[in-house]
Order: sequence, then structure tokens, then C-alpha cells
Amino acid sequence: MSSLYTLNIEQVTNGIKNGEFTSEEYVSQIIERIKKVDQKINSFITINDNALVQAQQIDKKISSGSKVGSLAGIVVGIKDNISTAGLKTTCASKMLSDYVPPYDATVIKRLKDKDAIIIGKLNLDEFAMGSTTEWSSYGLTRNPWNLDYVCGGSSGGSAASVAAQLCTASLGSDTGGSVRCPASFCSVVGFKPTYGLVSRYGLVSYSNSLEQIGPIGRTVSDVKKIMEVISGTDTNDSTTIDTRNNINTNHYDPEQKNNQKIGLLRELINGADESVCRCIYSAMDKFNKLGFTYEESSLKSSEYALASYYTIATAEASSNLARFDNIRYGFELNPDDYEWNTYFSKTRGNFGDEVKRRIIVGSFVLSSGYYGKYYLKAQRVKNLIKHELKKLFKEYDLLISPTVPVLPFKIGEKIDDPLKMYLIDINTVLANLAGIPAISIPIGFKNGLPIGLQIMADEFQEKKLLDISEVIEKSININTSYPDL
Amino acid sequence: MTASSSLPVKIGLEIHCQLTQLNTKLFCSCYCNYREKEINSNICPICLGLPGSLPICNKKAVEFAIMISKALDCKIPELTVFSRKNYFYPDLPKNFQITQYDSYGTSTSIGKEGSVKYGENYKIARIRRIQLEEDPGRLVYENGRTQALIDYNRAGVALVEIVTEPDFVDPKEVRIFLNKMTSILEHLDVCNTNLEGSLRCDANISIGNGKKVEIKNIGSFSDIEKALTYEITRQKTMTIHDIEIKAETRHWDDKRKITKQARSKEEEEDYRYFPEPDIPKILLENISLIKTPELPDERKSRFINDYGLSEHVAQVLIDNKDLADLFESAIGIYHSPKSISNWIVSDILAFIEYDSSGKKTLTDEMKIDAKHIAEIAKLVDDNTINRPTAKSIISRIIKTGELPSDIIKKEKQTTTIINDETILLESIDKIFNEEKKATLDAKHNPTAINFLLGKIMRMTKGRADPKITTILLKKRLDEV
Amino acid sequence: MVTKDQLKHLSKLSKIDLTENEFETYTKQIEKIIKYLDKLDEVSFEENKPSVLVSFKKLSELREDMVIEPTLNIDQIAKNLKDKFVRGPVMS
Repeated sequence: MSSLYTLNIEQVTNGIKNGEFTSEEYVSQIIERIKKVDQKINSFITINDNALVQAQQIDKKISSGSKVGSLAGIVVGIKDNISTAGLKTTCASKMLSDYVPPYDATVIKRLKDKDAIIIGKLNLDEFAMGSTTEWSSYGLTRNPWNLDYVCGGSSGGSAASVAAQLCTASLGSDTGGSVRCPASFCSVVGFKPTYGLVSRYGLVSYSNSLEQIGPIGRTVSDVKKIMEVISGTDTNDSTTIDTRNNINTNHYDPEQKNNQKIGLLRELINGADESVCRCIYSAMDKFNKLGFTYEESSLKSSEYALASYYTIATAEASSNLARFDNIRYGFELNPDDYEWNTYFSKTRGNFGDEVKRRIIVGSFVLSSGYYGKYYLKAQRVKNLIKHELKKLFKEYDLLISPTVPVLPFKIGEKIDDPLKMYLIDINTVLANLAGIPAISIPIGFKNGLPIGLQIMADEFQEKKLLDISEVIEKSININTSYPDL
Repeated sequence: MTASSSLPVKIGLEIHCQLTQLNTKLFCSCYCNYREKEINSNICPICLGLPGSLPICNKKAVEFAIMISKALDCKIPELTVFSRKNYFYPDLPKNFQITQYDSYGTSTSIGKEGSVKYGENYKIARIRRIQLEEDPGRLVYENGRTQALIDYNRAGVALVEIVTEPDFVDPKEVRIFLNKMTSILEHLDVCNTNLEGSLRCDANISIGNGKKVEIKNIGSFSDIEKALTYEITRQKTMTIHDIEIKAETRHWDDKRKITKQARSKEEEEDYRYFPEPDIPKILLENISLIKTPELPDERKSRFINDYGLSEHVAQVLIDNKDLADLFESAIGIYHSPKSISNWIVSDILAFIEYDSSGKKTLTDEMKIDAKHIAEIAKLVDDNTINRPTAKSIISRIIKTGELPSDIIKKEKQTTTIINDETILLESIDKIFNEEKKATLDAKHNPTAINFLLGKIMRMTKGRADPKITTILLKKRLDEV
Repeated sequence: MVTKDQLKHLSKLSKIDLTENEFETYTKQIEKIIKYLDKLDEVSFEENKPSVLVSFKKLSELREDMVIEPTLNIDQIAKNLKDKFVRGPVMS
């Protein structure tokens, strides 16, 4: 069979189980395609040399009648800030150019336990700091839909590879929109779970109190399947939360699927480009057919969300990245004869511009005399936003907005103006600050450039959010095409 | 010139106590006991600070810290929070330390506002705060080189930092306080204070309400008195000559026995503290269920009240938990508290040298334990051997661990008490012959009897039973 | 206003060497960013603050004090070793 790379998760796992094709065949085709296509978009940093052998092992398991996991045979691309044992994990940075982790992140273990194959490590903005993947020290990733345009970030490689059909699904990380933004720009589905639902053990920390690992897939259904495997408490991560007895998770009644009340966040749509707005409204026109009601709603504190986000994120980043001093791991610089202050400062000069800027801003907002004005205030705003959203979710089942207020733009267009770049995240940071789940699903194109709809739910309402997103996805029904690469 | 005599001295302490009695480190499951492990073999992604690793808090460490807070009479919060102290140093794997920090009026470290009574007059030292934090790795230097070699085996070991108010007015007080603190920590069984580096102390001093000087790098508790004395002299001398004392950090140089400048407080590091995002706040519920073992003061009272020991003897035992334990084990075998305590305090202690921290402790090399002491006490009480003999046996027991009864069997000739009247009368007659004048004296003069008795004791190498000998002596004198 | 001197201090605090060029460019960019963060000053918090939603862990839920045998080999990670020590820079 050819064109196996077009298959979704269910089609791959069933196909292999039913003997229509082997895992080895599937992986071979994928690797072929990566070799042919990835030079155009540059989504991969490292390919797993062992993938074919792992595929053969799965085939052996199946032919010998042994049980295989629910994801047997699918290939998953992993954002290169998630630790994979034995496979280089660079965070797209010179500081980790040779770093091979001695352990697997929990999410990797869980994928492997279900017999998924890790196909390789995907490109990102250095240390997940950016919105376009232009800050990678391995070169930027191009948007598969138009190679002159950015693919979004920071999980650009994760989204682009799924859009280019170079893997069945991928994992990214979302700190301020880094899964949803590239998903929106690449016309694929990207999901950020409730904070604490997915273990961060093995995720190289950028902003620990805001980020979550999230799946990117071709459909909501595929994203659901990955979520089922990677989510759940982990003794290796104290911030994971046991949801078994959580009221919210049991709150949703699937029978009410057609009775949803949806709020469109006024502040988030008013700031968006016209073409984006039009696409959103036309998608919403279909809601009435689904039995949904919608109206405009307001989140007053949303105008402070971005300031709060960048204060907290840079503060945590400045501390999380302090460990990169080249002594235990990193690129080679002999410490002989260097006085230690000089040594540290010199090696850390090898961070990229954006990382350096964020570390400096982060040190500033935590520094003596400024801590109260910035960091403490930002935390209070975070709580205010969380509180206001909780109030809104009493009224509405779901809240929606454009994922990104603009269309994908040309490569290099915003690179010289950091603040302009930060404004890309203005709609997505809310969900990180409040810790609530949020998804981006593709809803249309303008001039061949993708547009995404963001849907948010209250914390731990994953089931509701994913179910309704699937309903909306089906009604919009644009996911039949893929970029011609 | 300013008179130095009127300058009040204020000393405060920062004690770092390793929770050596834990099995694992504070945030990972590596061994707590890193000593004698091969270099860089007691490490994992967490304590090495590998990218993507996350700290997982040790429940027992928090419980130990709660016990210490309770023992020091501190207030314990409902929620305790960890914070990051951000600074760069080669022994710090993450270039930040996870510790506890109170800011903006909130108090979330494991204990605050406690007090400790110490010394004969039960002076009170106030405890400002107690916090849990992690130890860094160790920097080691090759001979003559300044390039650091780093061993991470110790990185992440749990520490409790105890900060006092500047309530001490002289170095002697500090030493007595530290002995009390050591005793408390030993009795809580949270720290084996005999382990090298398990208990460290920094001090801060100001005189005449002047600027505070911090003294760091004091190797052991016995050095603290020296360091403080030196520093006070230094400051007083400067003051007399109207030289301004700067607020600074100074290091104790143990070789030259001086303090020298390390870092000016004006360039103080900005640690940019913020709450540790990877560790949730910890709800300290049901802490009344965490019982502290018997504390030194309680034990001392019990020794005095239940066993009738004197204040002095009880204090000596309490000051060293090993001795107190030895005492209680011994009286469990042979219930004679007064005599056993005396044996320990007067005789056994004489054989122990002061260790580097200024304490006398039983070492592993000393083979004496409860059963030996119990036997000795009983043998003497039963009049099987006399005191001098017992004393001479003790040093042998310490070296060999032989039971007293075995030694006596082996050395029957030279150890047992002579109470056989025939033998005693022989000795008496011999002495009468040698000391004719004293014998005549003794008929009228009681003190001369003691002289004769002394001679007999010497002749029998201390083995004559004094009571029986005296009776026989008097009888014989009458017959002469 | 974020001055070049402030930036010098921050680069020292963060232990990151910056070139003259970077000092020039970053000063302007960071000043713009900080100005945006100053937006936080505009937020008015109501008198009856919303209760801060505190998430916590119970003491009883923390990790048991049981050793897991360390298996990490320092050779796997660090490149600059001497007799199993990790080589560090010169300490003055």
C-alpha cells in the first residue's frame, strides 16, 4: 500500500492489527516521506535511527499473537524540549547541542507503553520561547501551506510535521499558546490540557506554573486518543492532580451535547484581523444547526493577561535556565583556567537573542525593589483572571475566540520587534494563566493561510471540551485537504 | 577614643543541621548518607539538576522539621511553602537552592518565634525561624590548585536551618547554647551529630548596636568560641580607635585563627526569591500526631526525680545522649541508678578524650557497654571487688570488651577482695611487726589505726576488705 | 526607563555576557517590554478580594522516605571529568 502517511491514528492501528500493512511498512514510508519533504519545511531536528527496528519488534509481537498497546504502530513526533532517553534533546539551543538525556519523560514512557513509536525530535523556538519557531538555532520551520510564511510557535515543528503528514501525531508544549498557535497556523488540531493533568516530568522547564505538554493531531479524535494515554497523575511530578474524585470531571453529561451555551469573548475578537473575524463568525453561523446558543461575553481582566503572562513566564524562565552553565552538560568549553564568573557568563552568552532578553526581563521583575510591582502584581492578576473565568463558566459551557488575532505572516516580518511578537499570544495566554483546557481547531483559510478557532472550558472539563470540539469540527468539515509537498 | 567596656555585644546564630537520620535526600530518593560513597555515584536526574527533572518532597523530612520546631517551641504554620533562592555557584546543580523564605509579612517556613532554655540559669535564647532547605554539592581542590572539582553526592541532602535572635552576649554563652542544641537534636534522633559536617554554624556579631558582621566558614562548634572571641576583640579594638566597623561577611581562617573579609554587605547578592512552582504548598494537618521523643530537659528532670540523681550528674549524662542511653540500659540490667551514674560520670568519662567539637563521646572503638557497667556496679555493691580494683578493670574493659566477671576469674589472685579472716590476720601481724611504734600508738589513737589500715591495703594491693580488716585490727590491737 | 547601566547590572546578575551591540539593541527592546508590563499598575483590585484559589498537597500525600538505588552514571552526562569529579572552573 502507498500513501500510508495519509492515515489517521485509528486507521493506522487498525490497519496494522488487521494485517493490511505492517508497522515496518508504515514507518518506512514515513521515513521516506520525511527525507523527501522535510528539507522544504525543516520540522525535524533529529530522526530516531531505531524507529524501523522498533517497528519490526511490533510486527513480531503481533505475528506471535502477543497483545500490543492501543497506539501500536503509530509514529509520534516529539517537541525537542521533552526528554527522550538515548535520543538527543536540544531544546533548539546551542547550550544543549550534544545533550542526550539518560531518562524518558513520563509522557514518552506512556506512549512507548502503548507501543507508539517515537519517530524523532521536532523543531521549536529555543527553550520554547517564541511564537514562530524563528528563534531555533537549527533554522526556522516553514509553514507547509506556504513556505514563505511562519508556521507559528513555539511548537512549530510539531504542528508543521503533522500538517505535512510526516507523523501520525505529535507532542508539543504550551506555555502561552505554543501548541495552539502553530496548530492554528498549520491548520491542525492542537490541545492544551488543564494544568496538572499531564506530567511535566521530562519537559525542560520554561515556565513551570503555566505550561503543559499537549498533543497535536489531524483531528480532535486523534488528539483525544493521545490524551487518553499521556494524561494522569505522576509521582514524579508533584503538580499533577488526581481527578478521579474531582467534581468538575464528572460534571459533564454527554446527553447534553446538543445543548451548549457558548460565549464569544468580545475583547479577544475585537482585537483580531477582519479576515479572521469573518471566518470565526461564519463558523458560528453553523452553531444554531447544532442546537448551540451563543452570545458575546466579556472578560474584563483580559487586557492585563499578556502583561501578567510575560512577567510570570520570564521570571520563572530566568530561574529555570540558570542551570545551563556548561559544567554538567552542554556544548564543549573547557573550564580550565577560566575564573568561574567569567566562565558562566561566557558560556551563557551562547543563548539566542530572545532567550537572553527573557532571562534579563525575568531577573528584572524578580529583583529587589521590583518584585512587588511586577511579579507579585502579576500573580494577583493571574488569580483575578482565574476567578473571572470561573464566574463566566457558571454562565457558559464553553468560551471561544480566534486562536490568533492575525493570519500567518511572512517569515522575518516580526522578528525585530519582540513586543509585536508577544502580541500574537494575546488570546491564548488566558488559558495558561487560569490553568483551564483549551483547543484550537482549523475553521478555514484566507488566501491559502489557515485560521483557527479557540475553544476553552473550565478546568478538568476535558471530556466536555473534546466532545463538543469534535461536534463543531464535524460541522465545519474542512479537514479533507493537506498541503501539497 | 571610645571606651570599650560599655559596648554591649550582640551575637546571633544560623545553625545548619543535616537531617542525617533520613534514608533519602530532601527532593529525591538518593541516599541521605553520602559519606564514603564513591565520587558522583549517589546522584539522579533530580539532584543533578538535569533539564526536565522535578523535585519531590520527602515526607519524613517535613516531619523531622516539625519535630524540631515543636522541640524549640516554635509556631508552626498551617501551610508551609518552599521558595527558590537564585544565585550562581559551581556547587549548586540548578544555580538556585530550594529553601524557605518569608516575605511581605507572610510566614510560611516550618517554624517561627520559638525559644530554648540553656545553661545553669536557664537563660532563654529566642528562635526567629526554622526552615527546610537542600545542601549543595561539595567543592574539592587538588593540592596547590584553585580549580574546583565537584562532587554532587551531597547535593540535595535535607538541611534544617535554625536562626536565632541576637540574644547572646558572649562566646561562652554561645558554646553552652550549642551544646544544648546538639543535645536536643540528638534526642530527637533527627541528626547524628558525630558525623562530620552534620552540624554547622554561622554567627553574626555587632557591638554597641553597630553594624552587623557575619562570620562564616566556622569548621566546628569548638571553633566558634575562638572565632567569636577573636572577632569581638577585633571590633572592640577598632571602636576604641574610632575606626568604623563595616557591615560585611568575614570568613574564619582556622590556620591563622583570624577572621578575614569575604564579601562586603554593600554588594549583597540579590537572591530574587519567589515561591517554588514545582512544589505545591503543603498542608500541615494532624501535626499533633507527630510526637517528639523525650527531650533533654524532660529526661534530665526524670533522672533527677525518678532516679534521685544530682543536678550535676544528670546534666553530664544529658549533655551527651550516648551516655544517657548507656545509663538507662545499664540500670535496666541492674537497678542502681546512683552508683551506675557515678561510674559513668566519674570513671568512664575520665577515659574519653574531648573530640573536635569539644564533647566527650563514646566511640565505636570503645568496647564498654551497659552490661559491663551493670556488672561492675553489682560486683562492687556485693563487695566482690573493691572500688580501686573496679577502676583499674575499666580501662581494660574499654579496650577489650571483656566482661568484668571474666576478668576477675582470670585474675583471681589480684582482683578479688580478701575477706578471709585467716589471711587478713596474717597481714595484720606482719604489719604489727614492721610498724611497732605505730602499733603502740594505735592502741590509744584512732588516726593511727587508719595509718595501719592504709599499710595493710597497700600490702594487699587494695584487696583487703576495709570493714573486716578494721574490725580485726581493733581486736588484734586489744590482744597486743 | 531601563538604562544601559541597569542592563549591565542585570546581565551580571543573570551571568550572561552581552556584546556592545547587544547592549545597544536590548536596552531599547527591553525598555519597551518593561513599559508594557507597567500595564499591571493599572489594575485595581476590589476591596473584597476574590479568594485566592490555593492548591495544596497534604503532608500525608508526600513521598515516602525509601531509597531508590542510584543508577545514574556521571560519565553519561558530564564530559569534563577527572577521577570521577566534575571539573569546574577556577575559584578565586
